[in-house]
Amino acid sequence: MTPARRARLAWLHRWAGLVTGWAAFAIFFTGTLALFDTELTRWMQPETALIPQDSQLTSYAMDRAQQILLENDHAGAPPSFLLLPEPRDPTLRVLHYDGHSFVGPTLDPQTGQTIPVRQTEGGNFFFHFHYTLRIPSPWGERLVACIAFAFAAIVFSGVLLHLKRLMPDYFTLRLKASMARSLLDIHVLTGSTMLPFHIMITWTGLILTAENALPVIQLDQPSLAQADIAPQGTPHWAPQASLNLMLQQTRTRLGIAPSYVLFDDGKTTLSAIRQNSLNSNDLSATFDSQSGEFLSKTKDASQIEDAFYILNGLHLARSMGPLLRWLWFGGGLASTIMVGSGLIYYTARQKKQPAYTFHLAQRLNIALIGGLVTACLSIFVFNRLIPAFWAARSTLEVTGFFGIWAVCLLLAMTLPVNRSWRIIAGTTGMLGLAIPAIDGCTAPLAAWGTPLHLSVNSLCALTGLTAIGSLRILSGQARHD
Amino acid sequence: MGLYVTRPQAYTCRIASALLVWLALVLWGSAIVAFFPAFSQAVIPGYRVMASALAPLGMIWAFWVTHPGYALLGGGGLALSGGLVLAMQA
Repeated sequence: MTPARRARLAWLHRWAGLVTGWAAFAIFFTGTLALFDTELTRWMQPETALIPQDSQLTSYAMDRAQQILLENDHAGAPPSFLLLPEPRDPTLRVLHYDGHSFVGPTLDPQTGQTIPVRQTEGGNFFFHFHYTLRIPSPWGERLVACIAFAFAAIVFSGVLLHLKRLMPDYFTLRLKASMARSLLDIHVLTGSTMLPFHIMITWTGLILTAENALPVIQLDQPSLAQADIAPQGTPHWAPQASLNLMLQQTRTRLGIAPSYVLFDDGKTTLSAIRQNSLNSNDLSATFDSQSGEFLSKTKDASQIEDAFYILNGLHLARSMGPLLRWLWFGGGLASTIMVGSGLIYYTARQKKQPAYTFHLAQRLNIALIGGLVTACLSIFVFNRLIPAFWAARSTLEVTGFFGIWAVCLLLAMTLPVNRSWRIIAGTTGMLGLAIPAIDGCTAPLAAWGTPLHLSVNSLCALTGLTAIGSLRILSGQARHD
Repeated sequence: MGLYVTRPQAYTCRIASALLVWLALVLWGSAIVAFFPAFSQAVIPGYRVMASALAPLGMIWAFWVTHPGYALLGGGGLALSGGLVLAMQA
């Protein structure tokens, strides 16, 4: 590669990285957390810990769920759906979308009794943030799609820039060198060791967002008058026929237990996620909601469609087993660290020639990288501290998240850089270490010592320790400089 | 080192070219989908999988070519031809 070409690619890598990097960091960080969205929802609803992991769905519980669906329908509520018990979440949930999140009662799958869980967006908050940045639809999805495409160009230009030194970079990490050198080593190491993961997750992310970034232009679209003729939707959506019978038939016809039930247009569709598979094409059986008559089941997908579903499944990680999910979690963390270290490297390497962009980038790094981690930990703390039966607690948790993030931004913009970093890292450290203690004091006894609570609490404590460790590194670097 | 300094206008051309490459992918993809209306269920995912793989290559190509004018001409040509093919399908 000629030096001029290398300079152009480095310019693209640097500026595209700087412009989209902060959003990319937030997308990667929340996406990594969203890999365990169901588990995080259960941690944030500790009342569900009373339900044994291997609970079986009884016909009594299903009848109770159907009764709630009929009551909701008569009350004029929007269509609900059912989440049936599965190993990741053994409860039976009757949910509907309230314009912000999925809400509704959680039932014991054996007795059908309502479990008095606290209302929270749970892990779904991180999943939603990951692909919308909480910007109203469709602008959030479109922005994330643009960032994904820019990120793909950044990854590709980074590979071309480091191609010659790819193998030596695998074995280079100089933590005792200057801050800029250490950060570059971390950036290149996390980039090169997990390169196949970065390429896979970026490409599959592009495919998932392609509907927004790569639209299909149709010059012969139907006129508005024709579009208006579309049916308005049936007034009643809840099934009159027995859901238990439909459930039994679905098990027989599909060969596996269904995971969720949807109600739409006079039809009831029971779908099964293919567990321990990469294919995101769920198997479904459809019934007439009034008579319970079997109508159809999923047709076999063509090879192209299957390839598309597998690419989606690789990104969504919805049907993966625990081992692969943890591997994806490691890959997501590596991507997050790669983006974060790249952003901080930009400011660290320019210390000797400060400019306006340098000062702004330095402060935004603290607010958007450090602040996001603090805000994510704070949502877990709010989850435990806001009284369990407050009506608006779910909204309060989200408001608290953005409030803490806004305070971090304010601190980073107004205080000297080192001081604001110390405050934010110190707060992150305290929150991370406090979460296991708060969980121990507020969660029911049945939740103590479960693998779920142990894992979440350990990861929060580890994040806290890392934040406190970064303060020591900062002090060391100050002496080094 | 001074030899490698590129004028800002050159980068503007290259960024514009990268965006034109993206537009070309949308136009060519839409034209291909319009050409096979009976198979749109399979062609649309196929177009998106291929275009997602080609888009980063196209954007990098805009910064790879030696002269910014070539980048602009190439991106513009691809977008224009895609637009023409799509218009012919209508």
